[in-house]
Amino acid sequence: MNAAERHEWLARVAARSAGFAGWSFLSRSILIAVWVLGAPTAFAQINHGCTSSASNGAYATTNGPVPCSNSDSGQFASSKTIIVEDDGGSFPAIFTIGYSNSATASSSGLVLQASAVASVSNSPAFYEYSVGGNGAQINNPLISAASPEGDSSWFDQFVALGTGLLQFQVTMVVTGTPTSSECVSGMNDAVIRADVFFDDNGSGSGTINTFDPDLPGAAGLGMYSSACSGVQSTTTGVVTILASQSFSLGTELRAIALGFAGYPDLVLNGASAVFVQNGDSSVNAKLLVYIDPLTPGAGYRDSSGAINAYLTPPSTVVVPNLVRLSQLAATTAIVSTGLTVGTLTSQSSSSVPAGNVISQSPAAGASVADGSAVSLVISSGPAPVAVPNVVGKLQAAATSAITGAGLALGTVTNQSSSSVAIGTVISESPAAGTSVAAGSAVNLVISSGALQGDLNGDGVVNCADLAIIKASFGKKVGQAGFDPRADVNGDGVVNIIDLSTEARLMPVGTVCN
Amino acid sequence: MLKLLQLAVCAAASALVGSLADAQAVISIDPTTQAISTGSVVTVDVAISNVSDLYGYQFDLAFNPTVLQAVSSTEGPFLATGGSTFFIPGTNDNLGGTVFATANTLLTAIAGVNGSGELAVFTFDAIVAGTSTFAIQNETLLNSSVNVISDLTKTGFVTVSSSTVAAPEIDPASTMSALTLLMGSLAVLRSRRTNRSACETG
Repeated sequence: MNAAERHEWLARVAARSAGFAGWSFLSRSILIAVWVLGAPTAFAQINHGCTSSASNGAYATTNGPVPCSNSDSGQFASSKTIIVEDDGGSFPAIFTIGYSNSATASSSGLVLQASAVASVSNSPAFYEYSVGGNGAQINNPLISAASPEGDSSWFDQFVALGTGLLQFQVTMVVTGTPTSSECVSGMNDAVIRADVFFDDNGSGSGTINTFDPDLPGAAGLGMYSSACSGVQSTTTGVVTILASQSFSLGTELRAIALGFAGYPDLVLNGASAVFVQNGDSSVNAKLLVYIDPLTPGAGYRDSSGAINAYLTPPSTVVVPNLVRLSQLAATTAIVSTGLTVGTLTSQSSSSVPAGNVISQSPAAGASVADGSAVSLVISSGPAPVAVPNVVGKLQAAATSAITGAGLALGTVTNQSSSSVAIGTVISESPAAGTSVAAGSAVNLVISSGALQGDLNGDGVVNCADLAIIKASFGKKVGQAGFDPRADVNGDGVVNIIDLSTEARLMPVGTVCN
Repeated sequence: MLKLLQLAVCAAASALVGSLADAQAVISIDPTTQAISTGSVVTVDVAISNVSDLYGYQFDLAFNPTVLQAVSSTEGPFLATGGSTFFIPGTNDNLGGTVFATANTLLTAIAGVNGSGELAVFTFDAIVAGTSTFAIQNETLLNSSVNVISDLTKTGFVTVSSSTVAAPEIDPASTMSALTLLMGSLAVLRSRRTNRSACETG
């Protein structure tokens, strides 16, 4: 389709809209089933052909003698099936799905998906998928016209109110036993077209993207493949178009038209569209399925179809209980649940071991949207405690002070000291005043009194002690130079008895120069 | 007759000394007598014999400060045969004539040494002609249990002359002088502590 043809086609689309009310009734019936799957909290609404009131928040339709008894709306706690029977009147049947109120629509994370499948042989079956905001935003809900090939097409125009992704996939299935020429020519003649007018700036001069197997070189966003080549008696061939277009706020999506006709063995088997709101609650989606007997007399063969509409509420998960789990276990649980790890905060706790979860937000059991963040407060262990000063205290008193401060008595080491009374703390480790985790051990060095032979009190017996005796050797009490430390045996004189007594206490291997 | 008496006394004294030496450690001056001239250096060894389990010792060495001046004292090799030692050379008192409190001890809890050998070596300067006795005083010997070992001491002599002379010899003409010397020696033989010599107890 060149530009001129496209313009002509669009003109005919507009013209078709004027004759919309004049379509004939059909004698065959079509079963159309609609399922709405929703979580109990999802408040969704399905409006279909006979709905004429806009009170439900969706747009109104005026066409189609579909029994009104099949309308349904409300909060669906489970799947809903709506059977629409063709009473022999005119089609199309038009279904819209959407949220009935803004409160529901504002639920972040809602994903509205819709698909339609129809099996209508030798008949144009058209599916229109459009996206708009709360129905009323759609300027002209349904305009139909014949395609250049004589098939019906629909034209819609609306302005996207949010951002999202619009995807199309159309599968044309070849059934029966078409001849090769039928297959080839049918496929060649079929028009599977999705003209999408993207007008990002509202100037009306946006890009039209057309998907048409006849025009493989035409501008388009999608691709197609034909499996009809060489088919004689095969039963199935597929032509697929997959188009995807992102749109942004204010994008004008004008028309989508699909159709083919004239080949009884070719069936337009279905199409689907998925619109993902991307969390933009201001946008509703609607699905329009229009089955139009453009060619009365060709009739439907085994006409049947189904429309499946799925309103998928935001996927929710229940926040697991993470309290007292290790940080690793908690974060693993968060991720495995489909949530994300939020803020991690450290906080001291005397009851929760360090590294474990003290609390979480949201709380365990809360139902939150999939992907929500769960924040954790991680225990850093008991609050730090300052080591008390116990140097100079007796061991018992020191121990009481340590345990009283929330610390534990660590290793107790005895050390001789000529200056610190026996049983008294010489030193402590960590040093007094050091901030340590509660429950930490404080090691003590306790005086075991003077070491025999340790005349200078340095904790060891060595030549320096002998030197003390040497310095006072021969001196008596009262004489200058008498050092009582040197008087080992306390007899008032420093002599060989003191020297040899001390000498025998020297460690093995001692050599004094 | 007099000579016979002298011989008898000497024999008795020698027998007595020999008996005591067999039972006790003996600290002596070596050489016993010396003759030097003024200005010379006199070296005197203090030796011990017949000792068992000697761990430490202490003594003073008395001399005539008008004749000699103490210069130094060093450790003898005997005690060190048992192990490491700690030697105190003593203090020279050249006015009073004493090398005071020379001492030595083995180190660590080991056994003492046995036998004989030099304890310490002293050097003196001969300053004036005359005679000096070397007397070991206030001596204490200790065994490895830090108990006192009984001992005897022997004195030595040095004669300082203005010129070199031979050491005096005892001849028959000076029998009385020799007897006097022997008696003097006996006088300084002392028994100490509870196991004193048989001379004192008997």
